[in-house]
Amino acid sequence: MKRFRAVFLGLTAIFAMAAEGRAGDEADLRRLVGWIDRELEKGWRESGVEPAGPADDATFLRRVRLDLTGTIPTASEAREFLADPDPDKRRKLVDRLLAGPAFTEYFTEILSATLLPDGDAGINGSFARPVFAAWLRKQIAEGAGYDAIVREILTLDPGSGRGGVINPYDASAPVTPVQWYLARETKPENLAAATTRTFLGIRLECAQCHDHPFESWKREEFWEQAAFFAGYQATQNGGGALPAENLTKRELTIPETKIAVRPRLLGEAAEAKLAEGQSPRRVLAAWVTGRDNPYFARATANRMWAHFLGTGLIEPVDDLSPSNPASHPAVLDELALQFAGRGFDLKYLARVLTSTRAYQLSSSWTGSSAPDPQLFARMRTKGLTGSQVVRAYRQASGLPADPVQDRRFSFSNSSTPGLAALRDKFRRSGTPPAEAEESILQALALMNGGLTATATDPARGATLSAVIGSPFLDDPGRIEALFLTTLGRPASDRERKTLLAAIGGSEDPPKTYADLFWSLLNSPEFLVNH
Amino acid sequence: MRLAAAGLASATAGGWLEALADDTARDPRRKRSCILLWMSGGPSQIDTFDPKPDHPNGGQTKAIETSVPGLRIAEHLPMIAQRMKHLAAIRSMSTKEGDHGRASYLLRTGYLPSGPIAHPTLGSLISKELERPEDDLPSFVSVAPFRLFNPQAFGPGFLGPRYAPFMVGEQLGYGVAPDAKSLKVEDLASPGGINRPREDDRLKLLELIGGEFHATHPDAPVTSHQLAYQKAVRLMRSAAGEAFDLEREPDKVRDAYGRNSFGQGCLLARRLVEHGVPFVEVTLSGSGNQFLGWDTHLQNYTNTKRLCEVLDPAWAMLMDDLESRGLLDTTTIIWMGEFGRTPRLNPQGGRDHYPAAWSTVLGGGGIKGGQAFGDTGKDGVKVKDREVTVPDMIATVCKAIGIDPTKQNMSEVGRPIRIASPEAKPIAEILS
Repeated sequence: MKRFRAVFLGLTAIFAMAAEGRAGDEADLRRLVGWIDRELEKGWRESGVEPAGPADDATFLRRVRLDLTGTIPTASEAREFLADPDPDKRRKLVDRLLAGPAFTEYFTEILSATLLPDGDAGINGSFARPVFAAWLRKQIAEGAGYDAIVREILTLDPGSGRGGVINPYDASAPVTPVQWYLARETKPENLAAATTRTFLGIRLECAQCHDHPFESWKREEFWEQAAFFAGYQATQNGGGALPAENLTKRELTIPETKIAVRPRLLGEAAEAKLAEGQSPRRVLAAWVTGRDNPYFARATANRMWAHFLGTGLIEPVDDLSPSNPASHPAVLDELALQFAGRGFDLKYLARVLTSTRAYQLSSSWTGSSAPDPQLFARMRTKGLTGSQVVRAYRQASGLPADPVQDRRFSFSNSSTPGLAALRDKFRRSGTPPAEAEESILQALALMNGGLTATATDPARGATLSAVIGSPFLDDPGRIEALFLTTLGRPASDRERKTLLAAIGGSEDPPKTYADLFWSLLNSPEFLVNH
Repeated sequence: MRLAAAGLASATAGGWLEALADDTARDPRRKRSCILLWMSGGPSQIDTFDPKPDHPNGGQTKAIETSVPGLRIAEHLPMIAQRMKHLAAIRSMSTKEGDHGRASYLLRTGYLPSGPIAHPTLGSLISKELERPEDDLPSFVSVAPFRLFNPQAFGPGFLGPRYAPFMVGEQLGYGVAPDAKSLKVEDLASPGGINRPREDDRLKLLELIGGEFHATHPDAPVTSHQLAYQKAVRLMRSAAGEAFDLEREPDKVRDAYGRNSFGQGCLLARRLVEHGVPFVEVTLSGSGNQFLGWDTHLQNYTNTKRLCEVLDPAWAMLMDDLESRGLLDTTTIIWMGEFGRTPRLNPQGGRDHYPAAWSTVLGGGGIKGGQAFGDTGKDGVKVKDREVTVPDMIATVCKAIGIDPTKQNMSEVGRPIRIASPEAKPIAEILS
């Protein structure tokens, strides 16, 4: 812990950043971004790597839309952005997106997947997930810092009226993060493992059964963390309610041993000081989310880095052990420090990261072999996630938007059944988007599925029929509209020339437009964030 | 007016989707296959492969002789009894998970659900080892899956969508057991009105738009896109796609397997194995209004009997057909659910979840049939001899198929994970 603190203090001294004042904030942000850029450039020089060129405006717009709101820009949005002469338009775009409801909705989903990984929730979990999401949406919409969100989860007290009971069918029932407990069957050891892994990037669960084979974690340390949850007993089959916490029970016996342990914070020499009649979780929560916690801010900053850049400074993103150092340790430490200093504001991290040179590099690579992803000398191509595919497809093909799902449970997540099936086909638990591989079933669904059949029918497809039928568009204009709608960019000269020849020679131009739209929706460019 | 004549052909030099036209030479080696008969809900061992007719725990179920002297199984499986020489019943399975979701995950992946790691299901693991790049058909087909107990137990996990099961006839909710008609591949053909020349036009346009992007983006999502589309088109156009067409089977054969989703699913499994598909799983969950499958908390005797009436002919026909085609030696068969059921009957005449001592069955290729392994004593309450864990069973299956159970795959958390967990011991006695 001491080591980290030393790094933090050192860099703070270099920057001496003022936390007050909007204009000052902006200048600070730019200074930080400039410093990160130089740190990464140092790495390129040392490795003799020439970075990719800058991403053009169309690519940047589509990229940042997908990363912040989970969908692609509309054709008119793309047109407007491309025509905008403002040199500061990228930053303004990010600010606009961060202020909108689409960001809240998308980050609810992103955080929900981080806090409640699929694997932790069986059939019982899937019922209560929407309630957890509704709670999270409220926090994000109200601008809660990430520390406050985590604190609220860790100190949840059903007795205080914040709700230990969930009723997914009742939209008027209070929203609550209780699912975080239920998904772990309220087992102290599962709750401890979730706390250390998700919030701190420490994989202590390996020490559940034995001392960690590579790290210094001892089995006792794992169970000392579990002891913070000692007042809970495992619930069978989930259920919808959090059992009462036994506030006098503060000791756990390590299974198959006679060793009893009491709560002790990681890295502390002494047992945790607990107040009578209060949940030990409060002590744990205060430590986890504290500004000087050596892991919390770094783990979060690293996840956000991976979200935007496709690869974490530390990979895997939830393994911050000393034997797994960051590719750019100083960058991670400084980012973490500034994040903590700004109330653990996730939007601040989003602003910083989207402003970096690395984020604004092209993903195109014509050299012999692509550089090490952790040099960040080129943007990585990320496969769209299930929900991004659904959003992008819905928007491109002109299907009406789904209402925001608040609390109701349903087996399918969309009013358009084809979209729910598509989401399911593109679901990939745990695989980082940059490693995502496409399957035959996904290809078949997009080539031949009912959704595509409708979207590419000149009479029924909303987007297609509008483009074909528009009296304001000539053929080049139609081609451009279809490209902007799907790929967020105009057609290249070569593409336009070839397509105009095909349409000019076609006996049935609407059919040819339908085929063009089909190929755009099936193109690799549509299905990735690049 | 073909697009080619309008200059598109020249734009596609480089042949981005060209591989689909190749008629790849066939590998002459005989392929190994594996068929998993998945008994969703947890079948009662006492009423199938470990009868206890001389003990009150045995209930009404009688034991019958099989074609193997001295080996007896429950009366509900008379046809399988005649084919026991190809099958080895493991009567000493012992696990600790009594929840459908967690136990399904354990049996189907070989691991307990553990936080961040999404373990791949058996079909993904095994088909990854057995697949060949030139195959026209998908390497892992899942017939009539019922995933609601735990969707994670049915997926490719950290191996990614490329190893995802090719699903036909999925059961989407409780109470909607699929009928035989639903065993169709979704989206295998272009929608109505799109003929072959039009498909070609579209694929050429796809090359125009995708070719350059593919060439300048050396990343997994992009390279796999090309591979997936090549394979999808090959599947749409190859004769092998006919493997999915059950209409090509004589009525007599279809009747013999049973006109229900499991019976027709077993027939489909046989057709797919004939066409070289390495892994097929067929789920027997619901039958009629007994839609929770083998989860016989109520009226265990009647419900198990009814499910066995579906299981027995389908499985027996599958064995016969594989044998007569010379495929039984290279096709390993697994019969299992997520756990067994309580030896003692509950007051409703049902049996509840019981993971402590229960049965699975292996057969066909690589398995020394005609035996029962392990012993649960007179009352069936405890394993008396040769306890078998899930990793042991999975390692045995690997050995029978001829793949290395210690083979490692990289998980999403950057840790290599073996096909069967390190402590697994294959059962030498039932390997041939």
